[in-house]
Amino acid sequence: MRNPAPSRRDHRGMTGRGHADEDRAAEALLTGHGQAAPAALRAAIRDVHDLGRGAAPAPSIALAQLLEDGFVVSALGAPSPRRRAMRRRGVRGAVLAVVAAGSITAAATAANALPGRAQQVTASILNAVMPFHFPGSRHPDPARPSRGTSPAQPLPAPPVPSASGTTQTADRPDSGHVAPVSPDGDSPQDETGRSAGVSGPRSSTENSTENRNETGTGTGADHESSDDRTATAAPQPAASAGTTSSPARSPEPETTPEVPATTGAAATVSSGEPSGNSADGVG
Amino acid sequence: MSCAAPPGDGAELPTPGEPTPAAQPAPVAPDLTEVLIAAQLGAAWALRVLYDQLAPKVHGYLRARGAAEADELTSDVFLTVFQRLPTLTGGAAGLRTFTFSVAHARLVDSLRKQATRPAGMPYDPQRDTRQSRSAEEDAEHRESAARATAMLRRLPPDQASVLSLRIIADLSLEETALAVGRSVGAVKQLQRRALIALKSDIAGDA
Repeated sequence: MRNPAPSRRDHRGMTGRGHADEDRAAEALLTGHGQAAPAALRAAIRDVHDLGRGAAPAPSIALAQLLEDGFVVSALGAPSPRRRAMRRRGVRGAVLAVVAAGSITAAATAANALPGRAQQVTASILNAVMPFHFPGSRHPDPARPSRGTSPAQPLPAPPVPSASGTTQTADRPDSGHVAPVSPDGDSPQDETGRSAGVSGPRSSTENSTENRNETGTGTGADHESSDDRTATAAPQPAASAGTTSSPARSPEPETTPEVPATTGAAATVSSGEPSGNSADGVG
Repeated sequence: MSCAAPPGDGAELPTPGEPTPAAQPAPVAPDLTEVLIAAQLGAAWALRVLYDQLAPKVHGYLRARGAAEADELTSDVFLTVFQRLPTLTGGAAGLRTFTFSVAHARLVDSLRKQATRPAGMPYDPQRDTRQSRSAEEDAEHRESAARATAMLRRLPPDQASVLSLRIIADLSLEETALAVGRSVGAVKQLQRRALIALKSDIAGDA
């Protein structure tokens, strides 16, 4: 309800003086010190005051129980139910976000859609922890080159019969080797000018000749099967061509092409070892 | 429960109802502050002391403002206050302000409900047998209570609330302003008008 507007009589007030005096007089009256106020008014104020005196009313059952037992303060530090619900909702949202991000990443990895390095790392992690095979940049899908490979990469060479009668391919993706690709997309060349990678344009004659010489070279486990005869061996320097290197030695194309042709022989002489280990001595 | 021990027999708790000087807020007895600390820890005896101290004033305020079920409302107010006690700040003065804020809110709700309900029987002091005083005291008290209640009911609700809180609950201007959710200036104005209206009412009766 809206208070009525003060009338002319209101302005006259209790004492007929200004508001400050009136406030002072009202305070004195309300606190029992208003001797200047009319006796009837003081009596009325006393009546109102007496309303707050007396015994406390009988408490209700719930309040009586509370007054009897008190309450446990352990709930004091506990978060309120609303805050607890908010926290639970937040944790649930975070878990859902992590699961969604993981699923998306796994799907992208399975589709070989991640950038080269990320695809490689994610695929290796997923291959390690999951029973499925995820294509990685170390094992590129022949049907779909990964994003890190050169777009100018030539198609695999058609199978050609070798001199020994076996069919050989210049490029076998399942051989476990990937041609080292330079940043500009070209495969590194050995000093003879041939491509050291599996996908380099090589003549079938060269392949078959070299394969006969390089039987047993390469990275051990990858060459245990009939893939030994594929032209996927690491590039060998000219001086060490035709020698047998250690099976445990993995091909490192970034080091072998730099070996000069005469270095291997010189190392062999200086170390006094057989020429078969000359490449190791240099490398 | 390892709460503070209740005050001894010699401990004097403040006597409710004594008017206080106006310029300063109503004094708070230190005992009540200690009791409040124990009550905030959940001590039953402290809750009982707080209830005995404050319930008569809350009950009187509710009655003065015309609440139909003042007893139930009083219990409701204290249930709410005690639930919020552990997080209460401001000491004993803060407790009083908060208690009467809750009482005022409950009263407004109750009066709204009453307005939608069919009118009950008017208060008849002769039929009110809840007090256990002597017959003479009882009659005198009932008569003065009826007089005060009738007088307050003739005032507009805001003025009656402010006047009741100032007189019955012994709240200061600032505490009253907090309890009713108004500014101090508005409370001053309301109380001034209420006293003028009371004066003219008494003069008219005479």
